[in-house]
Amino acid sequence: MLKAFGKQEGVEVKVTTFDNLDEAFSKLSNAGLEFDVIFTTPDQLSKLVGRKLLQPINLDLIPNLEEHVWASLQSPFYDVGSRYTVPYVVYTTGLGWRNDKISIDPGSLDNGWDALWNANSARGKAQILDDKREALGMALLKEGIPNINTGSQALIDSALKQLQLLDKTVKPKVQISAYETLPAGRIQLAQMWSGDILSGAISYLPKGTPADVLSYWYQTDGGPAFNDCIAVAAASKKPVLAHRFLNYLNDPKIAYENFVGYVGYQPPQKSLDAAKLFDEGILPKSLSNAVVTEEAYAASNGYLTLTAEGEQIWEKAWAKFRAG
Amino acid sequence: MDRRRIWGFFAAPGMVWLGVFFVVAFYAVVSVGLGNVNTLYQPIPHWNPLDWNVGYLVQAVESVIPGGQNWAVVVRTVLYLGVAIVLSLLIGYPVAYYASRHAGRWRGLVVILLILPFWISYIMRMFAWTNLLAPDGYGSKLLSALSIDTLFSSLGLLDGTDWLGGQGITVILALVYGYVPFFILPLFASLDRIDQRVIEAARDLGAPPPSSFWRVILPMSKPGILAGLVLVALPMAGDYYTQTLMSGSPSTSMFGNVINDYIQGGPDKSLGASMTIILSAVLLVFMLYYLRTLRREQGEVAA
Repeated sequence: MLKAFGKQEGVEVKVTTFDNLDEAFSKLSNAGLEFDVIFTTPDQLSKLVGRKLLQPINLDLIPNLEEHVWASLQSPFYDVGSRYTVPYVVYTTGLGWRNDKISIDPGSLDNGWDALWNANSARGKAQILDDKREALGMALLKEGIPNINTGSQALIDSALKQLQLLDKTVKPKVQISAYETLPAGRIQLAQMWSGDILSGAISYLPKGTPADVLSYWYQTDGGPAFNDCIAVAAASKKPVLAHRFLNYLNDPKIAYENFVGYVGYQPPQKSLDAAKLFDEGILPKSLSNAVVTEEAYAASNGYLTLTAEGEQIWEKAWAKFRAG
Repeated sequence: MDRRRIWGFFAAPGMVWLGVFFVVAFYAVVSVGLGNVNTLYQPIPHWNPLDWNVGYLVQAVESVIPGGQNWAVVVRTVLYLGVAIVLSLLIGYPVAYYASRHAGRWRGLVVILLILPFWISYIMRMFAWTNLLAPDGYGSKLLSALSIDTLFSSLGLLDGTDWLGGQGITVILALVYGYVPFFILPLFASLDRIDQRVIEAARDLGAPPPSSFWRVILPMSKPGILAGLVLVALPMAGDYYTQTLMSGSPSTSMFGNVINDYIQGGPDKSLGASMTIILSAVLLVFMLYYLRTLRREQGEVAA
């Protein structure tokens, strides 16, 4: 995709990756590294804008936003009027499992997350995300607490207790590699992003394993869902080209190819017909839950920026859990 | 120019290299650990020792003493390391001994085999094991066919039969597997240097083989054992990716994982740097003990 864009524009696109958003923030804060385009998440925006690391975007240069992107993401709550960002991909966080190795049905439970806490048979073969917000947030939802952005010490303490209980009974690995370990069968059940299970189905299934061994569930009402977004760096020396890149990724054909051909993460495009993807066998029917509809996105919850104190509370609880 | 100055001249680039990449880097870690953070919890290193702030270091020390948040990790790390070192000794010594004294015409081959693991990077070898020990991997099938998993399970060393399911024993064995060549090579060199005539003298004076081993060879190979132990213990103490690859469960977290979690995963980089200072300080004590013993041994030999 990047090469095609480079060819179209006659430039070379260079990529710098980061393992997590804290690292990304450090890289961006360092003088000497000049970026044109930044991929990030909405909860990082206030920091990035506050540090003057982003420049306001000119929507005239990104006609694809209005034409092709979901109406609800043209002026999202985290960036009203799309002043700094355009959306990149949408995803939910749910449970993915190998239905040939473990038999669970989170959808039939009052609280679907209990399926993970009850999965004694998957002891040592389960995985949760190595991400303090996602892991502790899931524990809050498991407790029936809908506010996944709480800064309450008591609530986070109870979420930590849930994770420690999970560690005792199911002993999950704490890693973000489920897109590979689950299709490979080394893991039977994982907390994972919908995009990861789709990319797992597209790219990581061992030869001879049918894609419909993968199943996915997410909490339809108030479960975590969010989107990545793309911004133009304040230091960009090629701002017009950067805008053209933002526009390029929101082109329906490019966005679709990027989705099913490469990343497995779905763009919030009006033209994308989820049902068709399953009917044509591009994606297995067992993963129909992993496609995010505009309605489902609207009914979901996002992980938002915490207060400085809240951040410390989450961080401390997470460090305690990770130390075992 | 005298010899000393010539060699000093040749050594200078290497010394500068080590100086820049060790001393400066370590000073940076210390400056972050004894620094502060800004309002966004980004670390601000304090380069000037007069500005050093011990707050994070105190917090880190409090977390690694009994009752502290990371005490369990400290105990676990010491346990894993202790077992891994003993196993390295038990596995490595006979190999080094055989290679240096009894391999005969196979000696060259044995030495090549000892160096062979270094041809493949440590992390690739660990990745190979994650496939071999996966539930349907050849390694775990073999171990299951030999009933080794049920044996370990019944001894309480393995929780269930999944080797990669957050098992301390797998982490320990992986550490031993990964680092044991570092133990064998210096020991091999040390055993190889023992004068055959000394052993013959022991025999001539009536010592049966076991006692010539205990009273002559073993004491004389002590510097080699110590060098080997230091070479395996230092990297094992800070290792984190062995645990990450072979287990990934918080119940097997080691000290290196805690440092990695603080530094990679969140806003507590200063705390992570402080933990690094603590680890370095502890390892320095062992290093000094090693150097002192070595000097004493050499003194005895010279005398």
